Amino acid sequence: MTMEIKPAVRQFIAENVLLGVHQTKIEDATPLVSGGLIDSIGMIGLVAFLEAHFKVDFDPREINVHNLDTLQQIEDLIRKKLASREAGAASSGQPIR
Amino acid sequence: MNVRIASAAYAVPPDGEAVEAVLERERDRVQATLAPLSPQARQKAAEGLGLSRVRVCGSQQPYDLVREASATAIAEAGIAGPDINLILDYSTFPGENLQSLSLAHKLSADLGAETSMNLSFKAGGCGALHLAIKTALGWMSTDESIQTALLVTGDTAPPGNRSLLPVTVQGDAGSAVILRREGVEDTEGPLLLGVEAMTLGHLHDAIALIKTNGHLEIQVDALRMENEVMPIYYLNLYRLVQKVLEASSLTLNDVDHFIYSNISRRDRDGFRRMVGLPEGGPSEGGLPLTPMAEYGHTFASDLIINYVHLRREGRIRPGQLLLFASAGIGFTWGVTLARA
Repeated sequence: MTMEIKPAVRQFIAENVLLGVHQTKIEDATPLVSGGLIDSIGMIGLVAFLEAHFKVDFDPREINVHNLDTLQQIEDLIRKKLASREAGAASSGQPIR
Repeated sequence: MNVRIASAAYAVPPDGEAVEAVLERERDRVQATLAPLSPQARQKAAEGLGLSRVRVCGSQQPYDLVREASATAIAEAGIAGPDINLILDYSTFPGENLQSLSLAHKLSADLGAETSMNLSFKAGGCGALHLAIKTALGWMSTDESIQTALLVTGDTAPPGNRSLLPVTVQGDAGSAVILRREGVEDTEGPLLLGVEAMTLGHLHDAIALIKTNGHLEIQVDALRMENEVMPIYYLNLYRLVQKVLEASSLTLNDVDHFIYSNISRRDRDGFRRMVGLPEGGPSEGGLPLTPMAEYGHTFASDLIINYVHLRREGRIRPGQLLLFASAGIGFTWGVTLARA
């Protein structure tokens, strides 16, 4: 299953976190958290979106600036989670959602 | 089993110190802590504290403050020392001069609570209140003879360690809460509806306690705070708030009073945004005013101080929903829900 991750996250951030007040173009490597575009309140909405949209769960330990600071890092983490879920489903014989 | 908050009280030492003077005295330590941060983050750390003064233990010790607060809480609950069946001490910094293995045991003896179960534990700064309440509920639910519990904390900053920038500046205080089973001698007070807490051990040294030349020092890892703690700080709190409310089929809109820590004006503003309250004071629908400017951040006593002030101002009416929330070193997050 191929899923467009970065465009969906980019759109969510632009529409819901930045609320159109920032003119900054969000590149794949734009630092979102360390660059001050997303603060700790913005993280609530971002994580809720990622979990709901991609049907993944985050361990609190995974949510830090090293994993979620850029669109590229977010995509890498989501892909890793999706792959892990698919591998788990395949080994258990369960259909992949 | 229904349990009520029968009473709550706090005590602060009479002596005080200006926050500006604290930061000047601890300038080297503050600069070393903030050095790894960007210039913008360093500037932000010094702004928005909203703390003018802190109370400091002089001749008094945290135990004296706990004793004073306990006496007030006991009197307000209309009980006596021997009525107390459980004493939980959840102090984070009870002071280097504590002449007792366990503050709870000493308090038991001094209050005449001769048959009380006594337990001291260190659990996580201002988030520890919720762990103490949950622990007390556990004891009460498994032992019917425990009808009245006294929960106390007394904290003083280690010498030369009042600044916890980029987070806060610590003041000294002690506080006491009495929980009682419903039905015991017409117990009154807010009914506990739920308590949720979480801890993350991997952050234990984001604010670390180290010993230098035999003295305790607090070391704040400002970069870890910024990179690892802050991204989840409100997220975890928000999840616990949702969890405790959902368990009672309630929503944020049902909460009448949010009782939150006095870490800084900046942090209280973050919490306000998290729960969706407007800016401004209580008359504008914002968070209640607190004595944080005068007392500083007093760890877990913050919530008791703010609760007591709400009650003194007559703002809590029967039937209203109270949500206590806090997070602290450890790291620990906690939320307690109660119906007045």
